[in-house]
Amino acid sequence: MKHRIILILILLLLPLIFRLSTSDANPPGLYWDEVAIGYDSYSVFMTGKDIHGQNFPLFFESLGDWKLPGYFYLTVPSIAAFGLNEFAVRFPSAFFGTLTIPIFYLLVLSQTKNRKLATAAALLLAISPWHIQFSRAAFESSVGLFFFLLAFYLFTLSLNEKRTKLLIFAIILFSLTQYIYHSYRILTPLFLVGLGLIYKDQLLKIKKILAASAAVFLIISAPVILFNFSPHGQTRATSQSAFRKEEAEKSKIDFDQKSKKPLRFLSGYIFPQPLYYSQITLKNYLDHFSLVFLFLKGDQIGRHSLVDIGQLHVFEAILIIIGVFSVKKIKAKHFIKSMVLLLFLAPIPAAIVTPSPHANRALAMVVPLTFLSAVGANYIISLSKKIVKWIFFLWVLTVLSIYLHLLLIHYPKKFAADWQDGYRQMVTALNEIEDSYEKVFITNVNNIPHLYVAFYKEVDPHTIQNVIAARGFEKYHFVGTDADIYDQGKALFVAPPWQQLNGKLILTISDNFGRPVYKFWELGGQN
Amino acid sequence: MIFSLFVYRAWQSTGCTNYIPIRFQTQKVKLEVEQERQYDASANSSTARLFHNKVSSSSHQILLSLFSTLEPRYLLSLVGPLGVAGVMFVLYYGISHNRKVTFIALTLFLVAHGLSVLYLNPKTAMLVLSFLWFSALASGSKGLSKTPRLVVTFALLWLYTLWFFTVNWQLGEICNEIFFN
Repeated sequence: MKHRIILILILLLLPLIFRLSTSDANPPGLYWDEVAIGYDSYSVFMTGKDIHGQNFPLFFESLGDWKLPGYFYLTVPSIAAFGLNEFAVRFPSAFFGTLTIPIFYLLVLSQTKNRKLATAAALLLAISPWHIQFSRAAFESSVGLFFFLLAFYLFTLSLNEKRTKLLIFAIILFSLTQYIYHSYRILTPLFLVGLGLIYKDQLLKIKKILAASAAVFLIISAPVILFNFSPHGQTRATSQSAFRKEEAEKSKIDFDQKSKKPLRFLSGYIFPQPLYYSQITLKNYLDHFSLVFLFLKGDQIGRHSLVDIGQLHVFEAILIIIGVFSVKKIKAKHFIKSMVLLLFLAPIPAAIVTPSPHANRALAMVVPLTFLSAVGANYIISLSKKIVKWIFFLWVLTVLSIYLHLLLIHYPKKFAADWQDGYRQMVTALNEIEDSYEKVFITNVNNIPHLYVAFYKEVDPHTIQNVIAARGFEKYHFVGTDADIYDQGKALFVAPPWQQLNGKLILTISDNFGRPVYKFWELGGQN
Repeated sequence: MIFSLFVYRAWQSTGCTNYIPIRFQTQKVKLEVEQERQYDASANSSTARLFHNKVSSSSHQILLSLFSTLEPRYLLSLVGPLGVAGVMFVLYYGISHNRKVTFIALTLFLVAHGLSVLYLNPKTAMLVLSFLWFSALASGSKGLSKTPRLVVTFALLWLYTLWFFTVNWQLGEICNEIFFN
């Protein structure tokens, strides 16, 4: 009974607390991708169409970046239940992020038959900074990871317990990951090929089910494969690509002019693009195994990590080393091979895009790394010397306290700008004073303020669908810094703090750290 | 073949006029503590001092200094793809055949690596680290030549590394300024 209570605590309560508590306020503010997902989902919920007027789209045009549909449709019931707010937009990520823990526990338990190891694995994933970071905000990657892990669990279950029909269900889930996050369009097919080779002896005994599974995979994947080759899919791929022709040309010129003199004649021969790009891919790929990235500083994009600490806890460095040396003792060869396969495949989607390393795109790496940590933790737990265990436990507690301090106190202030903090405060202030004005002008920074206004004011989606919303709707006009705004009569102008206007300053809005983010000016009609 | 790569890379590094510092710098400790404490303005000073102090910051900076020379990009610049892949293979081979000896060898290797970073200037450290890694690779040459497939892989990686060193002549992760005219 006591063990069951501890298990529920580790598998559900602890991850839920880490992922859901204050998630509406920390991270502070909704990033523009989150507000785009939120408002598009709201639009689908209310009208059946996205903000561009498409009926239940398979791929969302969104901000011109053509997002995958999975997270949008999962947000619809969340918005229906909780309303249009930060909590509802982030809930699917927190919910599926939490459910990933018990699935991981069941996977490790079913494969290794070691309850202590499975519990250690679940606990380490529950407190993993990498996994928590992407479960606290609306990140498609954490939802994709849940479905990926669930599919893998059902796959292994179907083979181990000879419940072959489960294999079809596993393949369906694997296929669906490709509609949730872009990384899985590359990772899932590669992983399935690898699984096929690892488990080939068992799979060849069920050829009919295997053929049916392959057919199901191809049928479900067909739209996303077609999307990959469509102009919209190509636009997205090109915008994120790590392979820039200009960079290769510049390198060639530099070599020709500045490298070691005896070698300069080689410039015409050693820069064929595929070969040149191979070394960019290699560097980007290996970046994800960087000790600084994993244990000390993490992803340098403020939304992807705390930046002051690594993607994993620093004590996991020791656990992983011990895990590597003791993993051979585990009698689950196919599962170990699958974990190693996942470890080496997970960074591939992140290796061909910028920037690098990219914690979001390589999130699947957290699974094998946490498994290795758990093997190391299991070894330490099995040691007879209590003093070693106590010292290690105290170190773990210290590291965890530092992590929580950075997450709860520093992060919302330090990275307020990364999360576009200030828009909610801006719209709240706008609601209080806009009634006195017939026109409201807002500086159009990055073509996104219109979405924040629509989101926080819960503007009827029909209003947005019928206009070029980025220019304006109702009494709101989104203008450039050079727009003619002084001959419009009495109007309210909302501008960033660096923009000086010839009007009466009414109000300054600050973010979570007290930095000014917006100023409200009254134009015309004064004095 | 391994020695030739070491010599080639050492020759390429002769144009470096400004090596990137890799040693732990004490001024960064004070800076880090001050920067982090500003976010604890709302908390009491004891809490701020508990989490952000010279001890914690020094440990962080020392680890950063040590880990920076184990960065994949730094190692690729130092010993190329053959060096990185080769040493990983030697490690895997060692763990598979003799874990105890491999663990001891790895510990000694990392201690030598760490001492070089902490006590040598960047130029000497670069040569010593390069020598250490290529020596580790050479120590596993028996395992690398076990099968024809491994020999072919080794040869292809050697060619690729030669090309890699040539194209990445600027030693971006090792050198701030390199000049050959």
